[in-house]
Amino acid sequence: MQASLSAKKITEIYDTYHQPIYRFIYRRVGDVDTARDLTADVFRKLVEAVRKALPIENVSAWLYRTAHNTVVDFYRRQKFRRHMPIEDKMMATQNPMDAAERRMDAEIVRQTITKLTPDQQAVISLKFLQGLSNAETAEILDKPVTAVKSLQHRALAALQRHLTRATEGAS
Amino acid sequence: MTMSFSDVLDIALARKAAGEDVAIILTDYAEFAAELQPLLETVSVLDGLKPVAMPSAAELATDRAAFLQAMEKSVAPGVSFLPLERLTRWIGQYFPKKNNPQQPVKKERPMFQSLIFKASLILMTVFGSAGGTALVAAQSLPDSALYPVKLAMEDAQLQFVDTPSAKAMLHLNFAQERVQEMMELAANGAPVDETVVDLMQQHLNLALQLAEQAPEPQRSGVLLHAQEMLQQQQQQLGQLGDGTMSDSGLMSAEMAIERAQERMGNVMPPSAMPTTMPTNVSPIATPMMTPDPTEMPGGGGNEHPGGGGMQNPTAMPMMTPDPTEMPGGGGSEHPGGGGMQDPTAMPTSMPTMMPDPTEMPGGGGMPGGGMQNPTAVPTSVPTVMPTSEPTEMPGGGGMQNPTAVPTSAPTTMPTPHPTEMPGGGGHPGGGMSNGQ
Repeated sequence: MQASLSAKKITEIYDTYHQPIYRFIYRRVGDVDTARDLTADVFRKLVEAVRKALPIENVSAWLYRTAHNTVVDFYRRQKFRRHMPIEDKMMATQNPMDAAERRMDAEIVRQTITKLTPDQQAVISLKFLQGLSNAETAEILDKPVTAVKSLQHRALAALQRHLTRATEGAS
Repeated sequence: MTMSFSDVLDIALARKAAGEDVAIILTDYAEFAAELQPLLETVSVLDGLKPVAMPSAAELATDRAAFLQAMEKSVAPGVSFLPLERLTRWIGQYFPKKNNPQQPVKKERPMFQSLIFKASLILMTVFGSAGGTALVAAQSLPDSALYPVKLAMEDAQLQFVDTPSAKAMLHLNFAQERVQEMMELAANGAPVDETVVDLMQQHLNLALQLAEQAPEPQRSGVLLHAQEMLQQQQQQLGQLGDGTMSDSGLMSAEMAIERAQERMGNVMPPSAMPTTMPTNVSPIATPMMTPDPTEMPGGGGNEHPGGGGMQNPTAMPMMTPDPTEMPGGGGSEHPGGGGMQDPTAMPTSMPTMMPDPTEMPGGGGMPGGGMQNPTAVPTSVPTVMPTSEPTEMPGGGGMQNPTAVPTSAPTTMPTPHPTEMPGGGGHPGGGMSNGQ
C-alpha cells in the first residue's frame, strides 16, 4: 500500500476498521472508555505512519498488530499503576452478592491472558476472541500457519495452566 | 500418517467452533482426549470475553470527529521552501480570509486534467505544427499556398540582423533563392511569375544599397560575393534559357541581373576589385577561355569565325589574345570590324538580344555596330574598361559580354572612349544605336 495515503483514504480506513478494532481491544481490556481511547491511539498511529511515509503493506494486518501492541503496552503500564494480584480478584469473585460476578470472572481471564507471551496473547485474542482463521492470524502475526497452530497449542496450555494455578490459589 | 497434537487440536477447535459436541470430539480422538479436554475447556472460558459493549452513537461520532481533526492537523502541508509563501501562510493563520470557508478535501484529478499538462499539450501543438509548417514552407515554390509563409520567414530573418552588410548578404541569399525558384518552376514546366522576378530584383537592389552603406571591409566582401553570385545566376538562367527562353519571366530575370551587375559596377570601388586578377594576362594564362591566336583565321577565333568574339559572358578581357600575335583580322583599332559591341560596363548582359556573332559579316562584330544594350551606361565605360583595349582586340574578335572585365584594374589600362572607336572597329558606324 502506498504510504502517501490521502485524507479521504484514511477516513475510509477509519470507517471500515474502527468497530472491528474497537471490539478486538474491548475484549482485551473489558472497558468501553479504555477501549475507545486505545482505539483512538491505534488510528492516531496510522495517521502518524502515513505522515512519516512508513510502508504499510496490509492495512488490516497493520491495524490488528498495532492494536495488539497497544493493548500489551496498556497492561504494562497498568501493571505498575494499580497492581492488583489476581488472587485478590479471585477472592472478590467469591462474593455471591457481587452483581458484577460474571464481569469479574472475565476480568480474571483477561488478567491471566496478560501473563502469556505477546505472541501467545495475540493468537488467543485473534483466534479465540476475534474469531479469525489460522490464515488471517498467520498474516497478522507474519508467521506460517503451522507456526500459528503450534503457537495456539502453547498459548492454550499456558492459559489453562495459569487459570488452574489462579483457581487453586484462590481456593 | 500420524498427525501431530497441534494438528489434532486445531481440528478439534474447528469442530468445536462449528458447534459440535466436545464429547464426540474427544471420542474421535481418544488417544489425545486427556490432553485435549482441558484445552477445549479453556477455550470455553474465553467465550466469556466475546460479548462487547459498544459505545453510544454520540460517542462514536465524537471519536470520529476527533480523529478527523487530528488527521487534518497531522497531514497538513509542510512548510514551504519559498519565504514569501511561508510568510503568507503565517499571516493567514492570524488573519484568515472572511469569505474563505473551510477548504474541502481536494479531489484527486487524473493527470490529463492538470493545468500544466494542458498547457504543455497546447504549446507542443502550436510550436510543433508551426515548426512543421515552416519546414514545409521553406521548400515551397511561388505556386504553393505556403509561399507567403516562406516570404514572411525571410522578412523575419531580416529583422534579426542589424548591420547593413549582414542584411545585404541576406538579400543576396534571398535573390539566389528566387533564382532557384525560377529554375524549379521552369523545370516543372510552369511559367515564371513576374512577381518572383520583381522580388529578386528588389533583393538585389536592396543588397547593393545596403552594401554601399556598409564600411569598407564588409562592403568589398559583400560586393565580391554579389559579383560571384550574379555571374552564377546569369549562367544558370542562361543554361535554362536554352530551352525555355521564350518565357518572359526568365528574360526579365536576366535583365534584372544585368541591371544589378551594371549598378554594382558603379558601386564597386577600385579597392574592392579583386586583386588576384592580373591586369596583363597572356593567352597562355587562360588558355581554356581564350581562342588560340594562332588558330584564329581572319582575325577571328575558330569558334567565332569572322567575328571571333568571346561568347562566354563571363569571359574576361584579359583572356583575349595579344593583338600583336594575331594574324590579320583588322587594324589596330578593332580591325575587321571586330571588337566590343558594347563598350559599356555591362555590355554583354543581353546576349539574347545580340545577333549571333557567327552571322556577322566581315569577320567582325556587329555591322554598324552600335551599342545594342539600351541599359548600357556609356559614362562608365572608360572606368570599367580594363584590358579590353580596343586596340588589342584581334581582328574580328569582338567581345559580346565583357561583364567580368571591369574588375581588371581599369586605372592602369588605357580605356578608349567609345567615340574614339573607328568605324571599322568594334563599333563601326560609331556610336550607340540606342544611346542614353
